[in-house]
Amino acid sequence: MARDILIMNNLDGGYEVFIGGKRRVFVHAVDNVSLTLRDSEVLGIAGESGCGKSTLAKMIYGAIVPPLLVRSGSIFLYTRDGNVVELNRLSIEEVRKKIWWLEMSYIPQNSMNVLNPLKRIKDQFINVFKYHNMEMDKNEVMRHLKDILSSLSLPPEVINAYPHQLSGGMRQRVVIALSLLFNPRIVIADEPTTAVDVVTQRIILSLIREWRENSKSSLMLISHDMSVHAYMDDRVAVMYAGNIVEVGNVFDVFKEPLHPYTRALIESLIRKGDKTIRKGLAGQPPDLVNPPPGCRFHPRCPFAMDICRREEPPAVSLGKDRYVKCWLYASKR
Amino acid sequence: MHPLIKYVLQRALLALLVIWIGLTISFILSRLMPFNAADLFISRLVSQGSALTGEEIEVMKRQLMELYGLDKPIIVQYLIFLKNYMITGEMGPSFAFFPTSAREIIGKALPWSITLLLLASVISWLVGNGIGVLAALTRHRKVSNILEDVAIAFQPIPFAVLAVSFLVFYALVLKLPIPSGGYVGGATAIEMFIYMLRRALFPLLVLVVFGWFGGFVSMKALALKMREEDFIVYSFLQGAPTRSIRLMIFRNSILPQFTSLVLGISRVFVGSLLVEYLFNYPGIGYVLQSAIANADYNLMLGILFFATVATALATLILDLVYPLIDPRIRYPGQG
Repeated sequence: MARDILIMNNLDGGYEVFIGGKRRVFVHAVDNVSLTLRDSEVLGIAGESGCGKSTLAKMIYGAIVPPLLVRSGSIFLYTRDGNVVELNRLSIEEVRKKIWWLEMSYIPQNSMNVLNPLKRIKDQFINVFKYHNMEMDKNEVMRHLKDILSSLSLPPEVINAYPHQLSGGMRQRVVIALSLLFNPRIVIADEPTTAVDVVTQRIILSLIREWRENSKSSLMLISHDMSVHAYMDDRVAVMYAGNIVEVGNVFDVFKEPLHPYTRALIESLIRKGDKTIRKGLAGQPPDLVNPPPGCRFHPRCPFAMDICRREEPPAVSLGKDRYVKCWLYASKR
Repeated sequence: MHPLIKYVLQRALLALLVIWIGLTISFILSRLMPFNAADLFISRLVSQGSALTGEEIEVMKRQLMELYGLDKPIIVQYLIFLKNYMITGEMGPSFAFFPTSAREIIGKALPWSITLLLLASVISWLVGNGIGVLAALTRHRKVSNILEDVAIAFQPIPFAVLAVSFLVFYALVLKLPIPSGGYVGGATAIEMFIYMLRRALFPLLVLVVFGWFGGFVSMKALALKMREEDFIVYSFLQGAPTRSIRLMIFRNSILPQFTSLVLGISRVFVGSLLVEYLFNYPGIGYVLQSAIANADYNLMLGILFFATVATALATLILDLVYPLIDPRIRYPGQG
C-alpha cells in the first residue's frame, strides 16, 4: 500500500466575521475533518458550492489569512527529504519559503484570471524562481520553459506574450505549467476547470493526469462536478456542510454510494441512454453560521431518523478504505 | 507607411487642430469683452485729470486703435493673429506695457510659475500616491483610516480658506518666519534660479500640505482593491515575499494615476492667481489677471496660447506613453 504523505487530523475552522464591528459571527466551514493523502494518488473532494471545499484547501495549503481562522487540528507533511513537518506549527514565512511551490503547490480557482496583466509570461515564470531565491540561468530557463509549454501544446511564442493576448484555455495551461514548475509532490487543484467548456476541460484534466502519472506526485482535486471526479480520481471524499460524509475508492463510491447525499449526487449525473428526468435534492445547504444539530444533512435526508436530529453520526469504517458518516450504517456494526 | 508613424502623425495633427480651436475660442472671447484697451487708456487719462476735448479723445482713440492694430476689420485681425501664432511665433506688443512685446512679459513671469507649480504638482502627486499605497498596505489600520478621514474632510474645502488659515497659523500662532528675500539685480541664471527656489519654498510647502488629498484618497482605494485581485493572491500563494507583492500592487495601481500627474503638469502654464496673490509670488497668474483687467488682448492670448499648447501636448504625451507603461493598451496596428 502506498505511503501517506499528508495527514490531516480533526481540522476545524471557518471564517470569523464581525458585523458592525461588534457582533462576532463564526461561519463554521470545516468541521472536524480528517483525511490522508497518499503517495502518487488522486484524491478528489466533491460537494456542492459553499460546502467548505475551498476552505479546506486553503487550510491544508496554509494560506490562513483573516477572516479565515483555524480552531484546531493538525496537518503532517512528509517532505521530499523524508522529514515530517507539522504544517500548522510553522510560521507563514517558513511555509512560504520551504513548502509552497516546492513541496506543495496550488492551482487556483478561475485560473484564467490569476496572471499579472503587466508581465510577460516568461517574466511570470522567472519571478517564481526569484520568489524562492533559486539560482537560475536565464537561457536555460527559457529553453526549459519552451519544453514545458510545448508539452502543454502551447506555441513557444507564448513566452513573450502578455496574458491578455492569450485565450482563456491557454492562460489556464500557463497557470498549470507555473504550478508544476518545481515538480511539487503535492498539488492542490481548486476547481481547475470551472470556467471552461467541456472540451477544454477535458484537455486540461488530461494534461494534469498525464503530468501526475509521469511525476508520481499526489493530487488533491477539488470540484463540484462528479463527472470530473469519475474521470480523475483514485479515491474520492464527499463533503457536505463542512463534514466529510463519505470517503472511498472511486469505483466503489460510484458503484455503490452509501451516504444518502452521495447517492443523490451520483443519481444526478446524466447517463447514456437514460431518459428519465433527474431528481433534485429538496431543500438548501444549511446555514454554516447555525448548522442544524445532529447530522448536518438530516433536514434534506429522505432516510432521516430520530437519532439523526439529535446526535452527530460517527465515522463508520466499512471495509478497506471506506468510511461513511451516517447513522444508517452505524447500527449495522 | 508604418502604422505607428501614421498613428503618431495623426495624433500630432489632432493636437494641432485642438490648439487651433483653442486659439480661435480664446480670440473670440477676447473680442467679446465689453471694453477695449484704448477706451481704458483714455478713461484712465481722464480720471487722472487730463482736460481733453471730445475731439481730442476721438483722435487719440483712433490713434491708439491703429497702434494696437484694432482698427482693422475683425476678420483681418483674426488672420493676422493666426499668422503670428502659427507661423512667425510673434505675439505682438502688450497694450498695457506698450511697446514691450507680450512674449517678453510672459517669458519673465512664466518660469516663476513653472518652477513653483511643477514642483508642487509633482511632489503632491508623489506624496499623495506614496502615502496612499502605504495606507492601503499597512497593518496599522487605525492610522490609515484617520489619514483617510482627514483627507476626505479637507478635500472639499477651497484652497483659499486652507491657505489663509495656514498662513495665520504659521505666522501668528507658531510665529515662524516666512522666507523671502530681495531681488538680486544682474544675477547669473543659476543665482536667479536659486533665488526663485527660495521664494517658491513657502508657497510650495502650503501647496503640498493641502495638495496630496486627491491622490491619496484615489490611490488608497485603488491599492485596496488591487490587493484583493486574483493575481496578487496567486503571487502570494506562489510564495512571493511581501516586498514583491507590495511592489506589484504599487506598479499595477499607479497606472490610472498617471493621467492626473500629466494633466496636472499641463495646468502649470496658466499659473495660479490665488497662490501668487496670497504669497506675493511673481507668477503668470498675476500677469493674466492684469491682462484681462486691462483688455490687453495680446498678452492674454499669449498666456492662453501656452495653456492650450500645454494641455494639447499633455494629451498627446499621454496617448503616446500609455502603451509603453501598460501592455494592455496598444497602438493601432500593433496587434
